[in-house]
Amino acid sequence: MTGLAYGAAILVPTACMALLDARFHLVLWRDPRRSLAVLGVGILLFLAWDVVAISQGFYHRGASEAMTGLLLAPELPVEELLFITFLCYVTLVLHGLVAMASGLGPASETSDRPRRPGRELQAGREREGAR
Amino acid sequence: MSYLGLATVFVGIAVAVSAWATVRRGLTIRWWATTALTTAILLGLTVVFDSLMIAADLFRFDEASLLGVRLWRAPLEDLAWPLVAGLLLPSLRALLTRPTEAP
Repeated sequence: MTGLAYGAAILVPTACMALLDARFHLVLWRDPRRSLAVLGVGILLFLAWDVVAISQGFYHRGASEAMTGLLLAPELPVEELLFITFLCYVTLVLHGLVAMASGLGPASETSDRPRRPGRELQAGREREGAR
Repeated sequence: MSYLGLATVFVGIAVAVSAWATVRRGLTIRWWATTALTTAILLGLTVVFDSLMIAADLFRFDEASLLGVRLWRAPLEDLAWPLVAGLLLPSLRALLTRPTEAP
């Protein structure tokens, strides 16, 4: 049971972020295709960082009983993949929230040009398609 | 190579991609302010949660590979993770967004 503690400690906040994402259309609920691509690149990059660091002996897994003990590779617990996914997702969700709070708007990326007409409609269709 | 050397490689990649995105997509001061605040929050969260994760013995470091500077329990080098995440991921998203699609 305790072996699931770390995984749960990552997955529960991730689910909470997904609720924020769904409510405010920040990341996956704003642009699923591009967001998944960005998350995928981020996850691969951080996994590469881990693999090199572990191969060089910079760190290794601890003896905590809060982990399942399942490994993706030597010294690389399956929970690390969850953590990396969480880190990438929280980054994009936070960026969206900060943009929204500052009035930039989560959809505004490169400039302050006026919103393109039909954007809301298109976003709505994407949401329908995602269900 | 030390852990710092490895971290520097990834920070370099993130800086290069964000610079490229700024040039290619004309990222504004407001975008950069948003990115800076996001990264600052991530850095703060990392000091707290990295320390808790180390205290929980989720992972252990080879002390000889570290600079030896710690913020609470988090090695300074670990701050490269939120720095890279905060710089790289929003920059990648901006690069993937075609200028004509920008609202």
